[in-house]
Amino acid sequence: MSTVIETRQLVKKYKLGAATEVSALRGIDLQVEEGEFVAIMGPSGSGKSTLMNIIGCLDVPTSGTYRLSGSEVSRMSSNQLADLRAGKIGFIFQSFNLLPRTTALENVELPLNYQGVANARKRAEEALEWVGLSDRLHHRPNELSIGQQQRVAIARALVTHPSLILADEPTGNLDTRASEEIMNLLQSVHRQGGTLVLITHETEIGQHAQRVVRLRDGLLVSDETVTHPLDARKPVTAPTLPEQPHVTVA
Amino acid sequence: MSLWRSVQMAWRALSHNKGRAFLTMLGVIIGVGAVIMMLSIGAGTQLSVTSRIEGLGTNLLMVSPSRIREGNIATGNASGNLTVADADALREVAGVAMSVPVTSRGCQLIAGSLNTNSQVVGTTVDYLATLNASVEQGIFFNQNEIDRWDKVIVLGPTVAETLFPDGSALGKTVQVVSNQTKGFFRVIGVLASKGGSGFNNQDDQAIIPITTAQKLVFGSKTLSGIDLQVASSDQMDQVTTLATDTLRRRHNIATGKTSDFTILNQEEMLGTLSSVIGTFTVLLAGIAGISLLVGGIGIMNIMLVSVSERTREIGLRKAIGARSSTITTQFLVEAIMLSVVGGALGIVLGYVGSTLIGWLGGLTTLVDTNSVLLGFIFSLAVGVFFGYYPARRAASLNPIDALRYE
Repeated sequence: MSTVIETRQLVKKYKLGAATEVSALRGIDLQVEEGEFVAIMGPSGSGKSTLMNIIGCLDVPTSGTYRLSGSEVSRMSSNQLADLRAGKIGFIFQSFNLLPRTTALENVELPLNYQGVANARKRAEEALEWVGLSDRLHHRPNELSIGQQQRVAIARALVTHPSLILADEPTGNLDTRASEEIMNLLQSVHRQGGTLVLITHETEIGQHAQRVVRLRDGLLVSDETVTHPLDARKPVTAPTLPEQPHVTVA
Repeated sequence: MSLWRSVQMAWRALSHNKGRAFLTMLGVIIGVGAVIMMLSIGAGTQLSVTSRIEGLGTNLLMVSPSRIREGNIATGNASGNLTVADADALREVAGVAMSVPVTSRGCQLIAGSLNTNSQVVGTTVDYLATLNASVEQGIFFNQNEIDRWDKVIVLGPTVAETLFPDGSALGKTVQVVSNQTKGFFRVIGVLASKGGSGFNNQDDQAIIPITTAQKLVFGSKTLSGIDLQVASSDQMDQVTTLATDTLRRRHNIATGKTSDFTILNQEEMLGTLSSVIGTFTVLLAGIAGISLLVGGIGIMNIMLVSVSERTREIGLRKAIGARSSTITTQFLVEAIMLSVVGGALGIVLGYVGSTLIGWLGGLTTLVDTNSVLLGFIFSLAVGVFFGYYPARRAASLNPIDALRYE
């Protein structure tokens, strides 16, 4: 098994004004292997968003090194970072960030367009089918429930077959049932060999992962394996795939 | 990302807010439309002036009196330099087919209760040939009538129409009132219409024998000019030189002094007029171009608004792998689409507008391919120029901040 994420003494400082500096990260050593499902947890201000931005190649560290699938990221140009994001990382956001007025299919196609992939449409259809939305291909985000919108976003993250899927509070805007659906999907990704990093502050959501890493004040304070992860396939509240998803009215 | 894809995306982004897109384009539509209308008026005027001057007759040289200047002081009077004897002398110059003395003044013409103010031209028999004109009714006067100082008159069609609306001009009497005298003239002919309006309207004149004009009407021996018909067009320069020498000798002008006359040929007149019209066209089109510029600023403004409205979208696109250059292209394509679609509509507006000006305004207008091309290229350039800054601004957004933007 190869290492997907490897950070050494990752430090990120932000300048606030001329003299003041804030350290969001103060030396993080983190290693994530291929096929792992890791939850990064911590209260707000702990630096977990900063860490996610760096892991997601949206930002570069002030010092320290970050290797993504073996390639050194911390000194890359913005174009190299963009290509890396296009090819190796799938993002899932709290607020979905689907393009409005654009069908589910076209939303999922978008990253493939940026990569210049040939059979983009077919692959997007497959990804949407995989998340159980094959009958919603031509719906626009405002015609979908929020649970369905997040599933479109997951399909968009998976469609490029990324080496790393980064989910930033993916259930933050969802009700319990929809959250279970989403966690079930993420666990399916994991079972099929995907590498996932989940950022959350909800303990129960974090318990769906195999491993939980806790941050506090820019430092890694604990790193433990979850002995009995919660299985979203046996939820208290909701039926799951492959049954048709229900529609939740937001 | 292919360009075609960017075009599709831009089309979708713009068609989502059609009202706004149209208002944004309006500046370019009006700008391009105005430029094309102005250019069409310029081109049309050029065309009508050219054809009118060509209608004067071919191979024509015009001798006219000019002030003598010594240093910066005008020492001689402009009129009085040219005489019928000069015209006779020029007739002997090699290459000159006809030499026609012309004296003309604005006079009042009265017939019964009707009157008009027209140019009365005193000249000789050859005038008709140099003018490229012909008599439609009646006859032109002949040498005998000139020798006898006969009071006969040939009316231009406009004059005949005005004084004799029923078309019965022939044989009637017209009173010619100049500031010297007045006299009754018998109408012996009416010229065929040559069309045209405004300045140098050849239909609006009345022609009398030169002797009658000088002795009985104007009371002056001076000429307003001499028209020279040159035998062939390749002799124009040669005849100009010879005629100049002849007149300078006759007028006793020392070598080195300026002549008291000028000789213009048609080509020079055409050139002069063309350059004047060209200058005006450029001026008008330039003013119209300013509105195109304002339209471009409108596009930039809306694109900036659009960039800030779509900050999250830009952040997302960057997060999932769009390079800065891809974002730049996307917004640039939108701006260019606004300006090019606006430009195309502007071309239609310009075409329709100049046709209407032609119909309603009585001006000759001509929309040529070049002005359409110019309008299109300018609108494209406006899109690129004014779209670039907003596009760069979109591309330079930090994806993290952009994704968090509310």
